[in-house]
Amino acid sequence: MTRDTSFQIKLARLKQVYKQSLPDKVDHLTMIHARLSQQNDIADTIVLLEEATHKLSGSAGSYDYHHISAAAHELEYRCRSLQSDELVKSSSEDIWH
Amino acid sequence: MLQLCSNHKLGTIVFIAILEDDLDQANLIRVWLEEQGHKCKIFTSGVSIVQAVRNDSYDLLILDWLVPDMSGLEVLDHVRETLGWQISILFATRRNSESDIVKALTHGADDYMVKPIKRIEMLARIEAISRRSVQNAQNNDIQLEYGPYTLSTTNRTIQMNGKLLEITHREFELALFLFKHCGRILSRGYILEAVWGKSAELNTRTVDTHISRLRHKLSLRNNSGWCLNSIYQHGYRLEYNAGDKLASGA
Repeated sequence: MTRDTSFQIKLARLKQVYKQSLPDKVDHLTMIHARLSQQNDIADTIVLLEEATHKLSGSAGSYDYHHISAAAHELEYRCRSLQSDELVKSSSEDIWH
Repeated sequence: MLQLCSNHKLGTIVFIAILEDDLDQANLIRVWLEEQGHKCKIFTSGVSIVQAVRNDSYDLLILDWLVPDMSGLEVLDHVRETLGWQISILFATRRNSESDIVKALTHGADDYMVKPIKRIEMLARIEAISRRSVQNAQNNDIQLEYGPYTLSTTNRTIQMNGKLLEITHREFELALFLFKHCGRILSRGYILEAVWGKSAELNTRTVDTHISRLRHKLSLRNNSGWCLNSIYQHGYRLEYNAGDKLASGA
């Protein structure tokens, strides 16, 4: 097996694994979003959401899922704005849409 | 476990430590870099990479900013404070504000990339860092000669009779310290503070372990003319005895 072929195989395998993990990543975001409806820990939940979207926006772009990366980045940005503006009392709808 | 030693061309980037808690991202970067011939190790927390750079020799650190335990910026500060400038550092983070980029660069990062990371761009930036590193190393390298031993202060290498020895970064620091203080009795505490730093949360057994390894790797026993002796209840002394050297025919 040539070095190029080996590299392409490794890359393809990583991309396949990443693609298969995307539904779980979306489920994770959905779960965090659902927690926003519980009014007692909104600030903490927004931090969690920011972390999750931060990771997704970084990795998705490197795996060539540019739309996912951009959407996650937008969500991350909104989370950060909410934290900095201390608007944690905003409804979860403000974040999601 | 990755075996690390500084035995490559002066300044060239070979060993890379990746600080990245997102394994999807880390594994992708590793595949990219290993395809180019680099040897990579992934660390998922700031503390773990700080511990690793104490003992292993890396040419480049790729740091994410937001990671558990210590931030990438804190890791950068720690490395520059304790190891100086011989390790190149590339930030790879989603943080894209001007103030963050400026902060990382002013704290001592060699370059800064905003995620999503692109393969070709990352390789080009590492190549550029490597070029600068080689140039700096060639300009600043100081070779110290102690009998059969040649210590290169920039590349952190030791040659014995022209043969490159496999040593870690910390072993190099310890050897350099001992050679510079040849003939003096050095307490374990003094060695610990001088080589590991004042804030080192270590005990003197660490010194004993490293001394033992160094004695073995550099053959610092009587028959070479150079001897690293234990001084009872105190510490160590590196001694050179020309008579022993002549007697042994070394």
